Amino acid sequence: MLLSLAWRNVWRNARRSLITMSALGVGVAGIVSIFSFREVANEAIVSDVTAGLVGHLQVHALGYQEAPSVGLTVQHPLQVEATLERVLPGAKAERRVIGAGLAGAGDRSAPVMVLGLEPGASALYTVKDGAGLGAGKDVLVGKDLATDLGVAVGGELVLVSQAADGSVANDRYTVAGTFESSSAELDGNAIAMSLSEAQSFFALGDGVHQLVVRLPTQREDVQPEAQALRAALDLKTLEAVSWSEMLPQMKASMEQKRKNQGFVDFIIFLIVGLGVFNAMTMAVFERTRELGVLAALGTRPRRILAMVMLEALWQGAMAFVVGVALAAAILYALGTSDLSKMLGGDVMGVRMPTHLELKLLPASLKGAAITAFLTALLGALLPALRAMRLQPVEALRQS
Amino acid sequence: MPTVEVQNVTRVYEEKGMPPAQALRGVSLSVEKGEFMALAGPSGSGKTTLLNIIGGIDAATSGEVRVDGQALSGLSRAALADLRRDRIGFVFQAYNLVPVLTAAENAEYVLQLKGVPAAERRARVKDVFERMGLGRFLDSRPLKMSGGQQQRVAVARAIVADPAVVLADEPTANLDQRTGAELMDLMHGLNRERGTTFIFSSHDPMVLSRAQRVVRLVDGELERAEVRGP
Repeated sequence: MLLSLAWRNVWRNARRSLITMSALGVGVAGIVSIFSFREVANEAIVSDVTAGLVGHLQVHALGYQEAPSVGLTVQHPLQVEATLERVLPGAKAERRVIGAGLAGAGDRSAPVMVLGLEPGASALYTVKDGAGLGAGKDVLVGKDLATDLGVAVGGELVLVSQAADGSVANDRYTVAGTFESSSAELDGNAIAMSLSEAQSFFALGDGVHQLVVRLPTQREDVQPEAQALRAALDLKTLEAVSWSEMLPQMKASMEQKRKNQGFVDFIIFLIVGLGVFNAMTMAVFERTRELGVLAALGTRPRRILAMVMLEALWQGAMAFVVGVALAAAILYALGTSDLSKMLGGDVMGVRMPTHLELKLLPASLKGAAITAFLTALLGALLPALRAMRLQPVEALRQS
Repeated sequence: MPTVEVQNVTRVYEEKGMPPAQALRGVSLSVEKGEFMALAGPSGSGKTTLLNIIGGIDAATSGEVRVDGQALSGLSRAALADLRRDRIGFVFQAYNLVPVLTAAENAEYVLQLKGVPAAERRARVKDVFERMGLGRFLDSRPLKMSGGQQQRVAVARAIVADPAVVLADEPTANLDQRTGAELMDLMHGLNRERGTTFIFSSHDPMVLSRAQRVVRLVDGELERAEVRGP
């Protein structure tokens, strides 16, 4: 009967209860939407980062991460790959050479990043025009760089750089195609060639600069895998770094957004909590005489406290359900919209997604539920304590 | 053993900046089981204060009250609540039914507090309602009922848990003469039929004429008692 009585009391002043529940529901919807949006966006960014240029982990020659140099290479990369496959089952490795140079075509030239990639194994780019990456002297040019250099498919360009042995590296290449990637930096600055050609161009032997590791996981935190890999590598000559260590500012930005949400949650529910407090104070005040009657009939003070708290809990529960439904609708609407004005652009060389597969994340419900119910309970606590402490004889005198 | 025993009870109300107001001055009273007793006296004579102190919803400044052998002084708020639940029924002047509960649920409330199973609660309430001519109002909401009907439900709520004593503070004050008389007949009938002890306050001669014993209070003092027989 206590639950039923609390439920009916909620609807005694339906307008006030609806306003209270609306405020709570909007708060829940805000928290769930912001949480889900942020986490799906983070997931998309991490997915882009790990599927593209950076990967989940990278193995380098010791010191390369701190000060990249064309001469710092991973020797015998196939042996390292074998170790990696043993330690991290299901992981895929991609060997890469990365160097800098000067590209010239006609009377135009530009500083470029030279990527040596395994033909057919790299998910770093998609061919925009022309053919894919082949062996020999064919290269792919970033679509924006191609525009800058004024080269098209079938055109020629000259690359000049310094090889690992200190000699001048230079050669003439045919543009087999142009590419686009998830990074504006690559699109505007990179030239891709086959791994073997890049090794030859920079005089690296079988050495590579990066072994990019992609793990069979969507997890953001890959430190356990990084630790496992480090344990299996010769750390006197090699280093293994995770994507978050390579892009610490991006990781810090994600963490900061999470911390900010805690603050936003607090502000939302402080405001909503004051609303609940006000509504429950009025509800108790209006029913002072009735509460005195219940006390006179033999209701223990704690039961009166429980009754008022249950009333707030009912409102919290309904607000939670409505808030989650509202959040689902908001996320659906955003998920079917073009977010290029809201997101887009590049952050730290990574192109932000303009469309997100938004969904309501179960993890967002836990925090929203705890916060919604806690807000309802905390907002009702003082009025409930007042109701509990009412002296029956005083309460019965209230008109 | 008397059902209610009041020994030399005083009640002084003190408020800041106001002189103390003495509502009861050394009142002693004994009410035997099955009595149908009235507290008479003009407004402000202390009738309600005495009923509140017997009912454990107000505390005496000095003196002792026992209900069904249990001394009230020194009991915690929770223990007093339990005592009211188990041994005392209240009927208020303004009915004071809970508007969001049906008439039957109002009467069931005390039984539920006592932990009586739902089926038994419903059966007991139905039985009492039918005996009191309230059978068709079981599922009615109080605000849809007349004052007389609401006060009968309040009496049903007071007696359904078989308390040691029912305290009724001016139970007919909000009712017209005929309905008031019917209510008094009903209460008297329950007193005779169930042996329930009733103490009620009033200054209405019609109501007082129904009482077996009338105790008069004037300015917080017991003036005299009249015994009128069964």
